[in-house]
Amino acid sequence: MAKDNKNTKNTQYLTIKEEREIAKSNRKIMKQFERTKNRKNVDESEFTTQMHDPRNVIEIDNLHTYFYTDVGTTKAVNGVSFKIPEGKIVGVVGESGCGKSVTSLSVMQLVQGPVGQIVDGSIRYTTSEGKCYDIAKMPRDEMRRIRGKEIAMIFQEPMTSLNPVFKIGEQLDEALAIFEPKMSKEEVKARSIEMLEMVGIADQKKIYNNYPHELSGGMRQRVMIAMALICNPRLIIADEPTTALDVTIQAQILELLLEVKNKINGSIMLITHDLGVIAGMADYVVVMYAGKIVEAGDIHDIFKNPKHPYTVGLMRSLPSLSHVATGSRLYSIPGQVPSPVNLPDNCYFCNRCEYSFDICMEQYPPDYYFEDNHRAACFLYDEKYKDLDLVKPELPRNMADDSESKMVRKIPQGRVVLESETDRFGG
Amino acid sequence: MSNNQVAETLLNNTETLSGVEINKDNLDSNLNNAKDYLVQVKNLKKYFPAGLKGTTRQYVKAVDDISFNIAKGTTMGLVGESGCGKTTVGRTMLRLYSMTSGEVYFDGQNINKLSRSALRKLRPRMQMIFQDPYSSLSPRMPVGEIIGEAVREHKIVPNAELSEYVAKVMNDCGLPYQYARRYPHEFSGGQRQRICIARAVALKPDFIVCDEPVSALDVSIQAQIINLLQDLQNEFGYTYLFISHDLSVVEYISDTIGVMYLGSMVEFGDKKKIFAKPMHPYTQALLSAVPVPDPDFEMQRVILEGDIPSPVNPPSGCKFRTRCQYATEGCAKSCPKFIEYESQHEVACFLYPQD
Amino acid sequence: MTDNNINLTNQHDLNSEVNNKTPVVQGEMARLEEEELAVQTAKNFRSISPARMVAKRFFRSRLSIVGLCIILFVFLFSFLGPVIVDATWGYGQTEVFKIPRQSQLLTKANFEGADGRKYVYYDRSISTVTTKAPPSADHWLGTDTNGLDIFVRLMYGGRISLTISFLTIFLEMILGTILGGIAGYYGGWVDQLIMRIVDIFACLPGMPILLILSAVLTSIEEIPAEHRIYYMMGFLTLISWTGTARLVRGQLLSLREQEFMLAAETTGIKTSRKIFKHLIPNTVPQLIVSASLGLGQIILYESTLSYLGIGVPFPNAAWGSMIALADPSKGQEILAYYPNMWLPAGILIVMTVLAFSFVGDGLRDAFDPRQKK
Ligand SMILES: Nc1ncnc2c1ncn2[C@@H]1O[C@H](COP(=O)(O)OP(=O)(O)O)[C@@H](O)[C@H]1O
Ligand SMILES: Nc1ncnc2c1ncn2[C@@H]1O[C@H](COP(=O)(O)OP(=O)(O)O)[C@@H](O)[C@H]1O
Ligand code: SF4
Ligand code: SF4
Ligand SMILES: [Mg+2]
Ligand SMILES: [Mg+2]
Repeated sequence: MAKDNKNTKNTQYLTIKEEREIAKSNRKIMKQFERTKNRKNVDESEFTTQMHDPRNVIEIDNLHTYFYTDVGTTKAVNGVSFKIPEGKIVGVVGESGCGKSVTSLSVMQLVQGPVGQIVDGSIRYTTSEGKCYDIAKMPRDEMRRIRGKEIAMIFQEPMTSLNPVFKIGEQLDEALAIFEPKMSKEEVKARSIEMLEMVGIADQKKIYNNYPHELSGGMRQRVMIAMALICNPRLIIADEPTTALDVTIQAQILELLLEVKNKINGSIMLITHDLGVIAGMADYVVVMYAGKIVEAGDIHDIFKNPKHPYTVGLMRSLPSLSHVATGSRLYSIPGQVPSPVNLPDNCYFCNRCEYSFDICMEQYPPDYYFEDNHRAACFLYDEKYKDLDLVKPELPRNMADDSESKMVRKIPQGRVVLESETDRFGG
Repeated sequence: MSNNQVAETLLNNTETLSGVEINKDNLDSNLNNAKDYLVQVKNLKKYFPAGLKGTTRQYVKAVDDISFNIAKGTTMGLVGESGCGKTTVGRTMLRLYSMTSGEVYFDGQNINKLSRSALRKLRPRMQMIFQDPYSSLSPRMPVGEIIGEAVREHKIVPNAELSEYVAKVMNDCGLPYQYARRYPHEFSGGQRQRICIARAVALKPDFIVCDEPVSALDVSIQAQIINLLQDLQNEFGYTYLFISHDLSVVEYISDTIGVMYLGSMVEFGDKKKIFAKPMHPYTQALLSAVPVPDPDFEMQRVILEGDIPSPVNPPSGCKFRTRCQYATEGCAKSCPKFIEYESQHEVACFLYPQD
Repeated sequence: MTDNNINLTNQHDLNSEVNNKTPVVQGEMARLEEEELAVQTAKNFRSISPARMVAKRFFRSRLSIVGLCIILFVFLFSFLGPVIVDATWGYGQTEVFKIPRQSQLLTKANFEGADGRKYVYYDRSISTVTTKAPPSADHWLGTDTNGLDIFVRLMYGGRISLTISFLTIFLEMILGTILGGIAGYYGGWVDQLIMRIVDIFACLPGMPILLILSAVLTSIEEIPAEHRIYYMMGFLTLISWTGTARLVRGQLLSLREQEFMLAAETTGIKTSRKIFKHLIPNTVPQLIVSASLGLGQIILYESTLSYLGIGVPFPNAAWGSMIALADPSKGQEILAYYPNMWLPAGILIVMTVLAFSFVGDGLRDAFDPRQKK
């Protein structure tokens, strides 16, 4: 960082000189990226690759997506690798600003250009025709054939992705007509209504003629799901699909997503900040922090045997039954999520981590592997430091242990026997 | 009151603020027995006008006949889906909205009968923390001023000690005093919520309405704020009304819980009783919908059909009947009474005897 | 733990230098004060201050830069100019210069001769005039019909135009903010009352009333001629505050619903504080925009009044009265042959009005957070 002299008293703000330098370099970089992306008639071999494992729908490998903003380069996604196997749900968790949405937008090649660019890495995807493409290198024109048809997306706020001036039906028809130009008008309409039925909308004909603002949040989200499903996608990306909804509606929508996934035999990338939602839905979990994956693994590994201090901290900070029973204080991670601009080369979590030690402040930890694909980026698990007797993070017994988790509350249904009544039976 | 006394009150924060005269006329004789209750709400109604249908005026029945009490030093949780009127209850209780009918007693005074100036004097004792930490701080006012402004005006501490006092309050709320000169936009969401809490706490309130104070925050920050609220309660004995749609947070922080549906209270009672034995079908559905962060846990979900009906035209009889799987014909005809079936456990549902 | 305080570098070949000067202490960072954490975060993440963001967006538009330059130029010209002129040449706007100059007078007439043919009669004579001197090294734009230096008078004219406009806008803003503030904050019948007053004032025809007013003012002998313009501008304030009042009221109506106002209400602070400390400061950006757009209008008004001869009285200069010299009803001569007398004043008016509009538009875009790019 430049040694700014006059403005040192205000460390919060950039100096004008720094600002200019940033703007200048940004312009240069962005121009270059845009030029490559906008090329026409690119030879297909340039972006054709090979899947590492044919059972995966998508393989994200070392993805870097940066934003060249006025305050510096935001490394929103900074070396993210994971894969989504066919027919599975992969949950991506993390707090706001850690790069979940940008990861999903990168897969769709919808990162807001020219500021945002996929800088490095590959996203391998096999189309339904059996061709394997690297989405990160695909030119814009080619991408149109995949987006929406092969990979569909559901957003948090459905109102922003539905056009308020068109009827629901018109929007559904249009989405379908783009990819199925051969279909007749009646066929398209029939299919749209069928889709609405599939997402559990009882009164399809009426909803078909409604405008988006006439529907409730839950209904809109159903319509969004219908729209995503209309072309039988192989992968659905759901970016916080239930965050704006109430718990009862959330339960409906999650149920619907599971149902729909089985019907079309697709895969889902489920992005959320709610560990509860992930626990109920996902097969695999990826935990992100400041643009990197800090821990990834099978759902049971993550929830029963988490390794990374951040994952453990997140779980412990949720109020659980044992907290309620004992009235003990919640665990809280000190500090706040760093903004991914100019992050130093150390463990990004180190200034909030209870378990940090010297090396954490000097390097970013590599991934350490445990059983089956379970990995965590934390020096605590380096063989080299085994003799240091480092304390490792652990979940409280009752959260980690399978047997005790069974005692989780049972909720009565319908009429409950009253106290006075039990008295009568001598209970 | 001499400066010494003020300073003493300052130190003994558990003391309620003197300087607010209790208007004897407003004391309802019935209430004298129930001294332990700091806040009593009786048959509170709040209707918002919502246009005309034909020639009749229509109303959003945001809060429709709600009663509850909150004991001194305890926390009452208020849960329900969005739009069910939680925020309106909180705001009407503090007379930020004028109520349509009903009574709210605060420390024995009917706040609806207070004059403007008396209300202004009472204000510091009833504070509020808002859901959105971004819109609830004046954007063009430095933090120290936001916190100290009303302290100065209500002469909570002598003017000479104001900046020290603000520093102390900021410290209590986990904000370094150096930040006093900064503006709200320079803070993160969690820190802003701390500023809101500091603003409320600085007035030495007895009662704080927390309207979804952690809903807009990240998971790791949520725990910080909840801990802060609890620590403050332990230290100064505040009484909270904690509004939230997150049942696990409410369960953790509350002593009593009220469950609202479409402007009405459907179940109210001791936290343990409500969570152990939810009696109302809506409470049961709500509880079963809470996602549990445990992959092995298979909950028997009660998936509610459909959406909340509009509060302008709520269903006749029991408002929940359109989504209730136990609904009978009787449910459409009349409203179930709100009856205490066990000590500290009240429910309004025809599944239970109505006498 | 202390036994394991080993030298990591010796055991393992690490790229980074790790030595054993610090024992391995876990959880060190967690014990750091929140404050230090924040400072650490601040170190690697610095943003652009909001004021600079505004400046940045403002300067992104070429037009606003042009506008700002023009305003700067006009200000220097009108306020610094007279000072310099006074110091170097030693005269002001009322100094009469008699510059003798040979002028060819040409008289032409058509008449019909006795023979029935049409004749043109020419009379050429040479006379000496001391006014209407053409531009020269001494008098850059020449002198006018009274022998006054046009260039210098432009400076003084600008001075009075700008002063009056700023004064008027300032008064208008104050009046509009107070009345609009009251209407917006209290709402209800107060709002109704004030807004009806606004409606009435807004539909008053400004120019005709000003004309009548000037006639009235002239008939009152106690009012000195040079004060008349201030009365007129005072009246202009009275009819133009309505725009500001509407603006402020609209702003307050939306701000009033914001949660921070509810928060202010819960703390029980005084109403005046709520209005002037919480609400009005948030309308300042809009007020600045509206003021800079309004300035151009006021300058136009002032010029019009002066053009009609009911503004700044002679011998004081005003851009409007300088243009009035070219009034075609008094003959085409000046309009046709002496553009140096009226064109510069015209250009200055147009430039200044445009410049204030550019700057106003630029500011509006700069303050509007939706205009990110
Ligand atoms: N269009 C954009 N321009 C600049 N920065 C962006 C943009 N979109 C996202 N970012 C930055 O990228 C980071 C990750 O954002 P995002 O992926 O949206 O987080 P989340 O995990 O909450 O979905 C954030 O720090 C954000 O500031
Ligand atoms: N100021 C208002 N004017 C008109 N209607 C309102 C107002 N505030 C709330 N409402 C309506 O009252 C109902 C309850 O709202 P609210 O109390 O905000 O619910 P909650 O806080 O439980 O989400 C909603 O239907 C809402 O539209
Ligand atoms: S690498 Fe160090 S600082 Fe980072 S999470 Fe692991 S122990 Fe904590
Ligand atoms: S009163 Fe009837 S409709 Fe209402 S909750 Fe009880 S059973 Fe359901
Ligand atoms: Mg996101
Ligand atoms: Mg609310």
